[in-house]
Amino acid sequence: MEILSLGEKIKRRRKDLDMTLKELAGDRITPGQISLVESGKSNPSMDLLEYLAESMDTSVEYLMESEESQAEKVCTYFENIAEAHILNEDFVQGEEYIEKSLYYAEKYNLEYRHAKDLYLRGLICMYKNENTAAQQYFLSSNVIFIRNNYFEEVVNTFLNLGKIACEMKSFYSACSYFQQAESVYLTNNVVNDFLIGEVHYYLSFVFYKLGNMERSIKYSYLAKEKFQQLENKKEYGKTLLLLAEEYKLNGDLDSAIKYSKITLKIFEEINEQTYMAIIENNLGKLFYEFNNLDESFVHYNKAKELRLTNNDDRITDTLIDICRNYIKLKDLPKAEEVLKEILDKAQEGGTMALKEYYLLKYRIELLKNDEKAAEGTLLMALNYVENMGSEKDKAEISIMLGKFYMDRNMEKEAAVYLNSGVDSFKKIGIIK
Amino acid sequence: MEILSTGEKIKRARINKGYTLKELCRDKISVSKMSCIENGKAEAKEWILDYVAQILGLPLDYLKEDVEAQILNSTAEIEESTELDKKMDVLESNLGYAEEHELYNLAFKLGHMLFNTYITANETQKIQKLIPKYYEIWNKSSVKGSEAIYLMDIAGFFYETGEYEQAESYYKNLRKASKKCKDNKNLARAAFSEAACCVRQKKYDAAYELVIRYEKYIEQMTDGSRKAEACQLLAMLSIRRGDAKFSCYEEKTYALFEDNSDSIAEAMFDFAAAMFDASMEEKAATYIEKAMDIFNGNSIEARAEFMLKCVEALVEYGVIGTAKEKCNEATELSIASGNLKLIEKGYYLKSVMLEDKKDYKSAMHYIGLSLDAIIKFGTNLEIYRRYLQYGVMYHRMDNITQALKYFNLAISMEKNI
Repeated sequence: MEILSLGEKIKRRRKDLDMTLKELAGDRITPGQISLVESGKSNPSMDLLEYLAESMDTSVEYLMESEESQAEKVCTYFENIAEAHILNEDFVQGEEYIEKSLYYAEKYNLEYRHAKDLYLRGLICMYKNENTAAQQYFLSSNVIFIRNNYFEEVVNTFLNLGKIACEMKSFYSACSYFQQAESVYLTNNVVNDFLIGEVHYYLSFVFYKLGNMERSIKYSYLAKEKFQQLENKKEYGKTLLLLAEEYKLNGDLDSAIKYSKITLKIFEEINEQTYMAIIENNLGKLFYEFNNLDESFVHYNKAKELRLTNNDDRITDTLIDICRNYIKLKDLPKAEEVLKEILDKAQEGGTMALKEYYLLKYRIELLKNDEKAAEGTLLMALNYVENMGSEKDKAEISIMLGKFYMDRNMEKEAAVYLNSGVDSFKKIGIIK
Repeated sequence: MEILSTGEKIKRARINKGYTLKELCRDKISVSKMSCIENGKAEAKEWILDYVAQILGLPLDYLKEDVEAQILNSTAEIEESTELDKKMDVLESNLGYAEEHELYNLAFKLGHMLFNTYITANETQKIQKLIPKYYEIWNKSSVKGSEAIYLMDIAGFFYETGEYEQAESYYKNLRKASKKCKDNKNLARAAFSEAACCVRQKKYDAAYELVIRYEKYIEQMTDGSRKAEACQLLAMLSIRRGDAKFSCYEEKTYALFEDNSDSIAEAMFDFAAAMFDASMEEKAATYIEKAMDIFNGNSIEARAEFMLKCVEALVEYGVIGTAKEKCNEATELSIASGNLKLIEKGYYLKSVMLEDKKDYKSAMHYIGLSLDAIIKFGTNLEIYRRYLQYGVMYHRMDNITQALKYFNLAISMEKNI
């Protein structure tokens, strides 16, 4: 992709058409004048431009388009490709295209494009879990976004900064990032329902982590409402699609196109299903913590549905959470039912989910007063995490076993597992 | 203090005197014009103010002083105040007035002051509430250099909440930006703050690289105590690197702090911590003792906090003898301060001392007291750490039941961090 000056465009077009200077000049002007225009030494009048465009079968708009505006388009193109690669988790390719875009952004001093490139780099680092580098890129890009009032980008960048801070367990920082995101969103009339839903969900999450239950609950309800609206939007989108088709049948193409565009936009907005599943699942967790199990079930079930349709591996996590809810309700038959599902999925996945399976099973067996089985399950769990080489899990399960024996006055066994747990804690440096 | 616009002042005085608009205006001014002035919809010309002042018996200066000047005056009155509660009240209401009158540059300055007052007063919740508003005001204002001020404040807040990694990111970004626009003052401040964040994360090499690279900018700092803090950082890092320059920087630090003995004590504590890490236990212990001697603190609370910090360091590095001597004093101070957080720490340290004396019964008593307290105010992380510490202690005491209990509590608490 090339960026051409006015003269270069004229020259290239002329060569493509195999015309000589003389032919192009005709009897209108001298070939020398055209040569001056082609080499950028003279600026053509509007009249002359119109003549040239007509003679070479092109448009004045094409000839007139400034280099900056061409560069802007080139950058946008590269950035779109880069973003597509990033979403596809092909970071090397993504970085290559960002590099290309940055070249033009710097050459033509395109501040917004520059910021966007930094933002995309931040995204790559974020997906690669290089948190500190990601924050650097986001912070640098945000300074530019803020200065130039690109509000939606500012919200997005603050949101990402906050997510990373959460990842790093810096909840005060995260909270201030999300609050800034909310403030920009609300004061500048940004319209993006999914985005604000996300911001509210994360605010609810950090306030929970910071022990501010009142605000956490407030935001969880705000998020819930937003996502409900989005859910309804799907239905709305479907009706619009129908409408578009009807217009097409009636031959009213303009209206058909108009409605199809709106429909597309709505579907794009709701298309982030995997992401939606994560948030639904986490909302379920929050409501579990607020002791509102009915609401919690609603969200878990939505997450479950989304994950089943998308063949999402994280379905086991959702099932584990659902099982916890049933245990809390002491509804053991239901809990055991879910437990079976978990076992099926865990064996498919072969992840640490099996550990969670054993621990849930242990809790159910304890509730059923089947001590023999409970002891066996816990020992199996210990055996499993030892095989998986996870020292921290080993420490935790040893301590649980110690407690199990101590509660049954088996002091000798309790001491053995306590010591082994303490050893494991020391090995991983949790205690000195 | 109440802040009134010129119109509001006229209206209030007129009603106080029992005049109607017509009585005030007579045949000089139209009633509708005066009504507009009172409601702030029209500006009063000089001669009208003259006239009104005369009729209502008000000083002309009082009438002319506009909202901005009033806010500035009332702010100047409390600017240096050490009564934090009062300062916060005044700043909060002044900020409200400035916003109401759309004086965004002034509002930004007030926001900046309020933000830092909250930090000094440890008002984390209030800062959280202020941040979105402060951000909005910053965007609406056009104060020169406001970007650096705003970002510096946010970074400072991250630092105060102990989220050093986040603060570091912010300072790094500020440092780069200041370098670009050749703002040496902010460059030095950002660089040294960044280094301080590195130190808190124990990234000493990175910190050292920074301070060495920016050492030459120290002279350009205008604030004396910032200069001193920069030297303190250099001195402390010299110890960690076994560098001979320590005593030179040390002297400079003390000299720059002048007669601020509390800051010197803090610096000595800082050096001692570095000495402990460099296996210079004996020297470290003498520094800590000296620091405890010279630290005054402007309140019992500050003194208790410092003493506890010192005792905790001594315990951690096994200088139990000196720790024992000072522990009782520290605990008593903490109780006198009435600050639950400090009291809890006192109980914890006391339990460690008693365990060392093998007086397990009393140790358990203090563990109980400490846990009762920390459950009330501690964050999940703080509670988790105590559970682990007590698990280890009971394990050492061979008390299996209790050890298992606290380890189990720690494990379930960890999931909520």
